[in-house]
This record gives sequence, structure tokens and C-alpha cells, in this order.
Amino acid sequence: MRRPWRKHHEFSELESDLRAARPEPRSDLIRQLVGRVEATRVPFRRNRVRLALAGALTSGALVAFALAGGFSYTAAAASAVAHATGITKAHSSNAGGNSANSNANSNANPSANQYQEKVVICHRPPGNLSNAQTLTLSPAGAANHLKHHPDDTLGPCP
Amino acid sequence: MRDPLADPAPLVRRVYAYVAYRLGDGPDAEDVTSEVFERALRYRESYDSRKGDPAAWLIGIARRCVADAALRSTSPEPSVHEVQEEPDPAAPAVDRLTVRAAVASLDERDRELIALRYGADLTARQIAETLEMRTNAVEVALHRALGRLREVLGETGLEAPTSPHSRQEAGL
Repeated sequence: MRRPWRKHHEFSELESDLRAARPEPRSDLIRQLVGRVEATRVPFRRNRVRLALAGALTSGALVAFALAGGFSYTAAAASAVAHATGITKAHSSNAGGNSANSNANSNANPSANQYQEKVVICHRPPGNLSNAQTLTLSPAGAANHLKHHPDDTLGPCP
Repeated sequence: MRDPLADPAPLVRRVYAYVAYRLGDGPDAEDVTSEVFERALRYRESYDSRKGDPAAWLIGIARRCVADAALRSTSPEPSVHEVQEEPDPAAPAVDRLTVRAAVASLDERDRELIALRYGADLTARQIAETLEMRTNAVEVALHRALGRLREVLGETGLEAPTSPHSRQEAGL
């Protein structure tokens, strides 16, 4: 069975007339709107280039920051390992008060050094108790000293 | 991304034809067509070629502009006898007026379908996507709209004009 809406020939004349009667815009309107579109075409492309450039710069900056952050993290980890193996202790036993202080400070990670509260202790090296040194450490570093050196005390050396 | 306004002149004609079939030929249709292109320029970068061709995208914008214009307008819809147009000496103006006046007298749904199909020159499938209908349903609705248009042309005593093109098709 043939469906009624398939009978295109039934309205073919009317369809032709509808297309022929299609309203046409004035040539002025066409010229005006085409000009408007053309005028915005160049900035449209420039914007895309600008966006691409901004994206590339942002990506580059992110990579650079990620690399720098990675180095910093690695340095902090290496410092922690050195502290755990006693390398820094060997240094501090031969150094004066200032250098011991800086070595003790280097045991803390960079963020702790910058942002955490500091604790002052009096460090008495085992076997050389008379060579007491006042150290300013992070809370974790101070706790570590007090735990492993029974002669260390809170507060500056007398 | 493809620029939807790469070839604007044919698009202006299609949008204007759609708008003029909906609102009537003249300054209102020109204003709405200009508004359509202003919005298109604003949202040009959001165009997604996977969702349809530029004409269908623009007609989607035009539909919203027509709806806005209809809300703003307080004048009644034009009737068959109220539609007026400047005579065009280079064309069979009477035929055009007759057909446009008959289209203007249809209800909004029929007028929308006729405008999308014969003004914007969208396919039934594109119309279906625009109106969120099935393609078959669009074909049926168009068929009925054409039937009503022919009735209007008969009722008003305005015989359906026969263009040279249709005369050729009919073998006259």
C-alpha cells in the first residue's frame, strides 16, 4: 500500500510555487550582514591563535613547576635519608654551634623550615657532654633528638 | 573547528526566507534576521559541526529570535487579506503574494513546517532534528500542512498560482 505522504507528485506544483515565492532579502541587507560577518572573521582566527599560545605557555609553566617541585622533593628525601643513616651526625660532631644548628635545620623538610613552629633544645653529644649546643629545630626534629639523646633537654643551654 | 559562517550570503537568504515566512516579509523580518546573525557571531565558537550543518544551526537560533519577536509584538498575525508587499515588477508578484498570504493564514505549526521546509530549505530529517520529532512524523505533518494550504488557496478564491517551473514539471 502506498502511504499518502509519499505522494510527492500530489503537491509538486504547490511545492514549486512555495519555493518560487520564497521571500528574498534586500541586497542591502545581504551586503550588510556579509560585511558584518567578514569583519569579525580575522579576530575570530586571531583569538584561536591567542588561545593556543596561552595554552602552550600555561602547559610549559606547569611542566617547569612540576620539575622544580620534583627536584625539591628529591632533595628533601635525600636529606631525610642522610639524617637516618647518621651522615649529618658525623658532620655535626666536628662543627661549631652555627654549623650544627644549620645541619639540624636541614633535617626538616623545606615546608617545615618555612612554615612550622620551631623548638629550641639543648643538645649534648653522647661522649662529649661538655660540648652542649643550643639547637632550633622543628617539633619533629626536636622530638627525635630528645628520644635518641637522653642528655638533651628542652630549652636553650645554660 | 569549522567556521559556520564561512559562506554567509546563502545563509542570509535562507534565514531571511524562514523568518519572512514566519513573520511576514519586511522590516520586522530584516530586524530578526540581523539579530540571528548577531547571536550567531556571539556564539560562533560554540558551533559543533557534528550536531548539524550551519544552516540548521542558524535556523535553530532563528526560531528563538522569532519566538522573542512574537512575544514583543502586540500586532495580530497577518491574515490573507492584510499581507501587503511592495510590487516587484521583475517577478510574478501576484503569485508570490497569493502564496505568502495563504501561508500567513495557516496556524503556527503549519506555518513553521512550511517555513522550515520551503523557506530555510531544510530536509525532513533536519526539520525532525530541529523540532525533536521523527522524520516520518515530519513528512506526514508537512503533507497535511500542504493540504491545508491548498484548501486555503481554494477557499479564498485564490487559485494556486502556477510558476513557470511547475508548468514545466507538469508538462504545460
